Amino acid sequence: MKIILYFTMGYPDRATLSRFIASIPEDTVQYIELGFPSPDPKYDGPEIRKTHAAASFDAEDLEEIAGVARDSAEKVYALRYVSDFIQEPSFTDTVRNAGFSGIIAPDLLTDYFQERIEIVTGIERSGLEFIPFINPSTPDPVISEVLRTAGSWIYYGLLPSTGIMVPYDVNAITERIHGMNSGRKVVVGFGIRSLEDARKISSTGAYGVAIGTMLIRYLERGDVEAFSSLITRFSEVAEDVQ
Amino acid sequence: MLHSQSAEIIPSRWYNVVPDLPEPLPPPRSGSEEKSSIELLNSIIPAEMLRQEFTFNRYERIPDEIREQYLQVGRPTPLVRAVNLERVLGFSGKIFYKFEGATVTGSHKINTALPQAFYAAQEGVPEIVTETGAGQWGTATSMAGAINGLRTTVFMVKVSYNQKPGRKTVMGLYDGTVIASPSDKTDFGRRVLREKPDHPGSLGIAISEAVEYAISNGYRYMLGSVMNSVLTHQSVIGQETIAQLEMLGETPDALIGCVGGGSNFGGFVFPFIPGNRETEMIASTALEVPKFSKGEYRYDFIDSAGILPMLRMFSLGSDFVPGKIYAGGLRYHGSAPSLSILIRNGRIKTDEVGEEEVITALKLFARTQGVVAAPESGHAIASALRYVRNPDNAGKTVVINVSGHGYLDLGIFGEKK
Ligand SMILES: Cc1ncc(COP(=O)(O)O)c(C=O)c1O
Repeated sequence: MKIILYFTMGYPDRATLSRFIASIPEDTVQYIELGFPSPDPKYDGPEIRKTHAAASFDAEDLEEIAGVARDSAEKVYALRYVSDFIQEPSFTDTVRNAGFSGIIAPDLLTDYFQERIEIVTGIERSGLEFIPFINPSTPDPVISEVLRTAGSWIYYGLLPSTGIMVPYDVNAITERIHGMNSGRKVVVGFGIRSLEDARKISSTGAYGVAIGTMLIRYLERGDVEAFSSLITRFSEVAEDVQ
Repeated sequence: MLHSQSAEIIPSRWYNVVPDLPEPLPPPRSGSEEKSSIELLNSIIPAEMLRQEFTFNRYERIPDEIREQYLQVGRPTPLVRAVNLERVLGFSGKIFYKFEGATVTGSHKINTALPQAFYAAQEGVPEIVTETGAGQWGTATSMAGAINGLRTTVFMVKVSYNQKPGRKTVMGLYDGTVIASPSDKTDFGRRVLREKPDHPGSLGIAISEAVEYAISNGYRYMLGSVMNSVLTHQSVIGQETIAQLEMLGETPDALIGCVGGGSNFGGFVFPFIPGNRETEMIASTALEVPKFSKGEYRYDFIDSAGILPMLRMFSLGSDFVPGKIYAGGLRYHGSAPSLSILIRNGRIKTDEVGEEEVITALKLFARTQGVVAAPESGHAIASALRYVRNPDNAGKTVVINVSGHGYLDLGIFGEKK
């Protein structure tokens, strides 16, 4: 199983974040997702919301952070709400030029369902992968459709939004992931809180686990050592199931 | 054509429409940056309810204990062909009604009150808390609390509390404690009373009080409608109807029900949705609470205090206070998100009927079928009358969900009117 990390760009600040990303032990992290700070991170939980509010971020930051991330993981993906980029036609080009491989838009299927095809086409036309974000509330017919247009993987959120713990049933999730059987890799996230959670997810046959909220406390404290040893421990769990 | 209580008709699982929706169900959202109101749900509703709220499973097994309780409270409810009504109308088709008023508490509300109380009891809390407008939900919750060994506290909208002493008596018989809302039992209630001592109350205020009371005492809060898990529990109505129609060899052309928060309607029609594009589904609301024609489809609070999360739904605004309306259960400003999606996408049609037409319909239904239906259900009946009187619908088969009986709402037929 692979490890995928999520960071909000510019949190707590460019230098600290770059230092964290650069400290990621080699060959431990498969993808890095970088979130564009949003004035309304509507589907994020309270902790990630705080990182959006506190982030300081501009075009220079983008280049530097994306650059460090590219050196620390196989691919880097941009995470941004459609409501923030829909009025910004140059966004996909900006993202591609900064070296991102694709875009994850957490509100695409819920808030822009009618416009989804147009938006996905725009992403693909810029030479980027479209990474669909689905969750327990995504209906079966929508999942089937989305799997056909997806890039190399899909993001499966365990919870309706990050940081909000509702009970989930690992067995049912396993069944659903197997049922999708689309040849797409499935990355599971939104709600991973411990090594134990990651171990459980690994038993579902998922391609990877995404970790975000758990990292915030290290970023907040600027504790790079604890962060990088956490990543090492996660990668040990992940290796157990290879 | 009354079906005897055949336990096999009670389904063994609940049906959840979410995996069969045409588009994703927008998740609940917190209204405030500071504290997550979704996390709050974690601490006030039973964990099993929360799991069911967010599940993608098409079916959920009904615990044996709950099936037993369903049987005890009068499930399966009858599906009756309204032959006299057909005759009086000179209708060439068939009219059936599913009678949820036949449950011991007199409405469909018991279908979700039982599992919610059962899950709360499993968690070891001593008390469950809720709000009620017209009184049907409070009655169902009190009864469900009683048979699951729990105390029940019900915050009842003050106008109803004053107008419907009979409701209080019934809840009291079930050992429920009924408090008129706004009350001095909560911060929110006290604040409302300070601003307006003679405030008549609203469902939103009562919800807010019940939630606050549950939080501060560590009790479990019961959800009466709107939430997905509640609609899932109500699917016993539609599943039984499917089984009963099958026994009769009938295929419905139209299903008609009334909408407050959407639970009896969703429970009635959703089980018909998989693989079915033909059956018409009509959601009837009060002209006085025109959520589908005048409401906006947007995120809005479940309750007027904004304690509970926001849902994306048709809403008239969580601060909407309807004028005095004869059907308390239809006063609610919003409607279940799943139902809202299906209305927006055209799968489900809507209708609005006003007081006079509803009362006429209730009288006709009483005179022809002997059933004193609840004022809320009167909307379904009135919309069904419109449907069968339309010459285009000659010869069709219609099923009405009569969500409750009206014996405790007789005031609407009184001299004042
Ligand atoms: C008899 C009856 N029917 C209908 C309703 C409306 O609620 P819902 O739309 O959730 O079924 C109520 C609510 O109190 C009711 O008591």
